[in-house]
Amino acid sequence: MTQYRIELVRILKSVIYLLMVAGIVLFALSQRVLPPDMSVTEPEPGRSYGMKPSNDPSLIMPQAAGSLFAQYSANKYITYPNGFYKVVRLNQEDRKKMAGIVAELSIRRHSVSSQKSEGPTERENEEIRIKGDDLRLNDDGNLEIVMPGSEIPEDITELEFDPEISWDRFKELMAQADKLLGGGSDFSEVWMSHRFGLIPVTYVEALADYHLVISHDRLTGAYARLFSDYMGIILGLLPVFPAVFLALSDRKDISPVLYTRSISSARFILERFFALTSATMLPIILMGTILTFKHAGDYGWVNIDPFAYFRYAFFWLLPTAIAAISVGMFFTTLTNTPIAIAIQLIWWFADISGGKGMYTFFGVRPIQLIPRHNGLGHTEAYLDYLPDLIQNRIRIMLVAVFLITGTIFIFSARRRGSLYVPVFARSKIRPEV
Amino acid sequence: MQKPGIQIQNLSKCYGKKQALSGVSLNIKPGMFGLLGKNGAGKTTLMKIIATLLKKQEGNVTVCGIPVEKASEVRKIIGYLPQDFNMYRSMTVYQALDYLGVLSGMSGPERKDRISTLLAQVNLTEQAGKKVRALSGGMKQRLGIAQTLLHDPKVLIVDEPTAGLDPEERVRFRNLLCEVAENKTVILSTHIVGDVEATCEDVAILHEGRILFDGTVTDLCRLADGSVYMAEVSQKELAWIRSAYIITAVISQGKKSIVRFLSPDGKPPAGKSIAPNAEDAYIFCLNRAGKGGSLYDAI
Repeated sequence: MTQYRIELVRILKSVIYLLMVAGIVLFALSQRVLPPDMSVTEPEPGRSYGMKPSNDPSLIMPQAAGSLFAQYSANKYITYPNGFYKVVRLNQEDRKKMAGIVAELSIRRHSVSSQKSEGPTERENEEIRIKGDDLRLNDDGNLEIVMPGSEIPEDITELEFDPEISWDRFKELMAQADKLLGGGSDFSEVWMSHRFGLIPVTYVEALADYHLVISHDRLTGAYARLFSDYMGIILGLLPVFPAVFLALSDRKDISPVLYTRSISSARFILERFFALTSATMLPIILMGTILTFKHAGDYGWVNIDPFAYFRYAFFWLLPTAIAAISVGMFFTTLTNTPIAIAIQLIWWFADISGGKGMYTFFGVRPIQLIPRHNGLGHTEAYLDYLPDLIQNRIRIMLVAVFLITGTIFIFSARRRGSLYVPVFARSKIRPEV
Repeated sequence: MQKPGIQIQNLSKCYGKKQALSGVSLNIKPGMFGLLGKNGAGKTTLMKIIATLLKKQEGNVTVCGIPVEKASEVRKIIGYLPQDFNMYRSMTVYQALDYLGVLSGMSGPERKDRISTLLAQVNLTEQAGKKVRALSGGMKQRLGIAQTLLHDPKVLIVDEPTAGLDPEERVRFRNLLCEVAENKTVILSTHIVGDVEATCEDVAILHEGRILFDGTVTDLCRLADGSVYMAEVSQKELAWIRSAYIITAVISQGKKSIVRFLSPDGKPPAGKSIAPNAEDAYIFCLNRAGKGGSLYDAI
C-alpha cells in the first residue's frame, strides 16, 4: 500500500492530473450537470413530453423506404461504420443490387382505359400495378420504367411504397441494403426504430416515468444517471493522459533502477493502476458528494437515495475510467511512446460516434465504452436495458483486466530485457555494449 | 549457504549479428573488482546480465550462488547503479530513496533509519529536501550510490559511475565506494583506469566481448614490465616517438617534453625503462590485443 500512496501523491501533484480534473469539472459545468439545471416535476396533462422510438411498421416502412430511395437517387448514403461518419457511393454493380431492393419496395400505378362494352365510347379507367421487377437501371444509373402503351422509358423520381410488403420481408430487404452499404446505415433494424419510428410520449407514460423516478430512483438515481451519461464521455478519454505520462516518466535513465528492485512486476503495476484509478475517480466522488448534498437540500434527505451518485460512479463510470487507464498503461509500457493517447482517442471517438449521435439517447451496445442515457428520468427505458448494461460493464471491465494483465507481462519482460518491439524505434531494447 | 561473489562461466550474448560477449568467464570474489574496457567493449552488457536486466544466451552466471535466471531472488541481494543514473525529477532526495526503499520491500521504520544513515554517509543530509532536478552531477551520483545501498545488498554493480564528474567529485565518489564496499562484492565498470587503480585489488579487461586479462592490479602492471619508457625529448623527437611508439603520457616543459611511452618490442633508442602503472599496462594490453597477440604470452 505504500507504493500506492506514493504513486497517488505523485499523480495528484502532477500538472497533467490537475489539467484532467479541470477538464472533468469544466465539462460537468458546461453540460449543466454540476449543478443540474433540470428538476423533476410531475407532468401536467396537455403538454409535450418528448419522443420515443417505436417498432411500428406502419410508421417505419414508408419513411425508411422513402429515405432509401432518396439516398439511392443521389447515390449518396450516410453511414457510421465502426462509429465513423462515412459517405458511401455504390459502384454500378452494387447500385444494381440496390435498385433491386428499391424496386421490390416500390409500386407504380398506371391508369389505362379499357372498353367496357362493345359501344364505341363506353370505357372505364383501370389501375395497373407495376411491381419492381419491371423497373430497371438505365445507363445513367437511374431507375426507369417503360409504361404500358409507351416505348419511351420514364425516369422514376419518386417512390411509392408498396403497402403489401410484409414487415418481415421489409426488414430482410433493409438488412440487405445495410449490408450493401457496409453496415452502420439507418436501415439496420435497431436504427430504423430510432430514425423512422419516433412517436410522442403520452401523458400516462410521462406520469408513470415520474412515479418511477420518485419511487425507484428516489430522485438522485435519475440525476446520477444523467451525470454518469456526461461524465462517461469525459472519463472515456481523459484518464489515458495521466496513465501515459506516469508510465513515460520511467524514462530510459530511471527504469534500470526500478527494474532491479525486488518488488514483483504484478505488484508494481497493480499499485500504480489502483493509484491512477483512485485519482481519476476522486473528482467524480467529490462532485457526487456535492450534488448529493444539493439534492438533499432541494428535496430532503428522506426523499433521496444518498448513495445513488456513488453507486453509479462505481457501477457505470468506473469500468469506463479503468478501460482508458489500462489502454494508457498497456500501450505505453509496450511501446515507450504516447501512442496510447491516439489509440484511446480513436476508441473514444468511434464509441461516441458509433452511437449515431442523436439517435442513441438511451441504451448500450455489447462493447460500448460509454453507455448513454441522455435524459433525466426515463427510468423504464433504463430498467429495460439494465441487463445489457450490466453485461456491457462486465465486458469493459474484462477488457481492462486483460490489458492490465498484459501490462504486467510486458513490464516483466522489459525488466529482463526480453522485449523487442521493432515497430517503435524508441522502444527497442538495444543496450549499449 | 550462499556462495559469496559472482561466478561467470562461458558467458555469451549477441545482439543480432553483433557479438557483445563471447565466452566470458570470471570469478569475482568479495571486495572491489574493476572491469576495464573501451566504450563498446561489452561492459554494460555484462553488468546488465548480472543485474538481471538482460538475458544471457549461453553460459552460467551466479550471484552469491543464485543463478541470474532466478531474477527475483537475485534482485534482493544486488544494488545497481546504472550509467547515467537518474530519478524522478520532481521528487526530493528523501522521497526518491523512500520510494525505492518501498520497491525493495523495506518497512517504514527500516527505511527511515536506513535513509538517514545513508544520507549522512554520502554527505547528502542537507540536500534531503532538495528536488532531484536541482542536484549537481556529483550529488546525483552520490544519491545513486545511496540508492544501491538502501536494502543493504551483498553485491553492488556500478557502471561507469565517474563519467562526467569533475576530478574532485571523482575522487570523493571513489573514496565513498571504497567505504561502502566493506563486506560486499563490488563490480566497478569503467574505462577510467585511475578509478580502478585507486580502488580495486582485482581487475579484468574486457575487449570486444572477450576477457583480455583477469587478475590483480599488480599482475596487470607486471604485464608491461620492461615495456614502459620515459624520455625528455624535443618537439621533433616527440613527433617521431609518436609515430613509432604508443605514448601513454606527455608533460610539456617549454621546448622540451617529458614523454612516457610503450615499447613492447625492445629497448628504444632513447629513454629509460620505468615501472609501469595500471594505465600503461592497460594500454599495453589493448595494443597487444589489437595486434592479435595473446596477453597471457607476456605473463
